Amino acid sequence: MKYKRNPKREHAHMTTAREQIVSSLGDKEYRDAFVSEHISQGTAFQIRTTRKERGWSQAELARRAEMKQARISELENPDYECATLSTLKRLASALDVALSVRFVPFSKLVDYSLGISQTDLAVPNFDNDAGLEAAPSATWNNVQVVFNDYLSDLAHTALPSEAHPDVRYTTRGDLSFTTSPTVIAGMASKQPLESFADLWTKEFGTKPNVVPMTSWTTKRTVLTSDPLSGGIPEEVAS
Amino acid sequence: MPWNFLDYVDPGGQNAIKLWLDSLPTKVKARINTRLQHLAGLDVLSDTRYTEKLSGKYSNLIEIKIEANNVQYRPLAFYGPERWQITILFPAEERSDRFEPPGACDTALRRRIEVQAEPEKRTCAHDYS
Repeated sequence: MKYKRNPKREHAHMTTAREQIVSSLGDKEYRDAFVSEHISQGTAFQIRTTRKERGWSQAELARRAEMKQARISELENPDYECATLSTLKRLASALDVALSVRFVPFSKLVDYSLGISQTDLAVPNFDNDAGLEAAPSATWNNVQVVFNDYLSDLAHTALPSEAHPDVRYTTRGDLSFTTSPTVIAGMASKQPLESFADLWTKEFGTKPNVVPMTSWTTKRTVLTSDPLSGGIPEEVAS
Repeated sequence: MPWNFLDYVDPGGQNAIKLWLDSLPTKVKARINTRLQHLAGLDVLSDTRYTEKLSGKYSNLIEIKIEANNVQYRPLAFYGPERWQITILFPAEERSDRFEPPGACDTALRRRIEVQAEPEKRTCAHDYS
């Protein structure tokens, strides 16, 4: 039996999820805990998911990182909070992935937290990092578009409720969907997302702006807009 | 595939999971909410480090494993009522290899039936506030 999406219900979820988190962040203690948990749990989930994606045992990762297996087990525990920066750097080297430590506005973390996906957690190594290939040109490549509350409503209005073979998108509540090149090309040509493009254009006075990417995992285009401030597409590295 | 977490709503219309979360220390609440956000992003939830299916008459339930402040939080949930949804039914804890309070699993099972009978009334999207 095919699962039928219920945009209205999903929208009810999404329209409040971001607001709920933002509301919670009004409490300084929660704010600090939110950051702390996303660091400790985020790294733990990433280490475990990436290791498994490589097909490595904990012992294998331990060997490569010159650590004990028990230490890897600790580091993969999302309830463990004592990973040091130097440990993370060693693991990054062992997994052959980059490590980005940056101070960011809370809004960045909130938006990231609402769109965590498997591709955020299983990080490709240097040799498999499609994002390092030559910059895309005229050919549309895979693009992930994440809509905020209001825009996702527009997307739901415009997207077909049943998956089309050329339209590979998934929803997470009303949070995001992932498109194929065809969809993006469709945005540009107004097929099959003409109503979306029209709605966007009417609402914000500009055509939807998306950025071609070379990989599902390297970047995403976050279209953060609201009816009051207008639409300003913003590209972020994930 | 992305998952959506739902909260059980009691017969009086109150979000029972939200009430529980609000009773917890701030850091614990942040930990649980953050855990749900990460679990929601996983394609498959079969890793027993994070969740585990219960056995026997409770095999329709799963426990979500979270430790904070030396307490083993074990919110009980089930996959459903729709595909890619997980409904949190009851906030159990684990002590000495047993769920607390006693009867937690039975309560969760009962709530599961309620949710399946009236999914629109007895669930709401997980409240992250």
